[in-house]
Amino acid sequence: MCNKKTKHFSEEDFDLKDFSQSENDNSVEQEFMQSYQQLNDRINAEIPNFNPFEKLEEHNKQRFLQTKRLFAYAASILLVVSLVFVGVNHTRNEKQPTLTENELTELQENTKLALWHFSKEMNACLANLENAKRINAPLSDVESLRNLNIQFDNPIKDLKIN
Amino acid sequence: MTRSEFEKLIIQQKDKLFRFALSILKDTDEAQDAVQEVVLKLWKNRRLIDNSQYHESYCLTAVKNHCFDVLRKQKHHQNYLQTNITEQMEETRFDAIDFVEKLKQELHQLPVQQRMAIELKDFQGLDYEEVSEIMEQSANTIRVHVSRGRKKLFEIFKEELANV
Repeated sequence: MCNKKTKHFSEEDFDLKDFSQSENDNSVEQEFMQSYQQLNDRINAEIPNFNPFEKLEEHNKQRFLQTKRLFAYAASILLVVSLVFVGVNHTRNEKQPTLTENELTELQENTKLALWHFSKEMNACLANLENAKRINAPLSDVESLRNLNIQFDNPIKDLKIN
Repeated sequence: MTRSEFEKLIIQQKDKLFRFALSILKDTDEAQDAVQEVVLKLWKNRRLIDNSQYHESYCLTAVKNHCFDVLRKQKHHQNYLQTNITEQMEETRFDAIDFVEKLKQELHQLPVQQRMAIELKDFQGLDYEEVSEIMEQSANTIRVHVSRGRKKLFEIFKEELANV
């Protein structure tokens, strides 16, 4: 009887539920099954109350910190690049200052004056040349026109325009 | 799968996953650690859980794979031997009359395949098809593991009872 029951228990298709429902007169097997069930209960009772998401939370926290660090790094790079760009632009602006309205007007007036004096002197030269032709002046006199000092009273002859 | 759905699934499966990990690793802290690691892996691959028909089996398979990785690493560092020595020392502390504790010790001494099969079939109440899917072995092989494991436990139990 005992062997039969034991065989039944260790049979491959045996289910624990079948055993609890069946009437078993074998005390050893009965006791074993009780211990077996108690073992299950004891293991269940020993399950600690732990947080299964602990590592997941840690991972998320790490990822958040990493992203934060990455953003800070990117922001600092952006800041440095912006500062360099602003610096370069500032230097370039200093080298090429824009002209004010007054400066432009002054420049225009000076140009006009220079052109007026230039045309006046050119007319004087041409008149001298015509006169020399008319009176058949010797060649040496005409050649002296080359060395004519045309500066006279030109007020902008020494003006330096940058 | 949304975060709340995932959390719900894990909270439902938490104890089963822990017990299964414990049946393989035989250490509470390591089992706890394994479950937390598996939860992290499952979250990273939650799309695969969506594709899987049976979430429970999928989670248990993930635990099994992770625990075997842990065992492999332990073996590599030769810590596994130390663990066994500790267990043997612990074993002598228990009173022979505490049959349940004795059974627990003996369950831990069973080969890992038998231990896993018994844990899933007898204690977690899965059917042979589900166990075979998780353990990636045929249902017949699982039947043999369960049967041999039970037989061994019963023989040891009988011996203990006779000694008393």
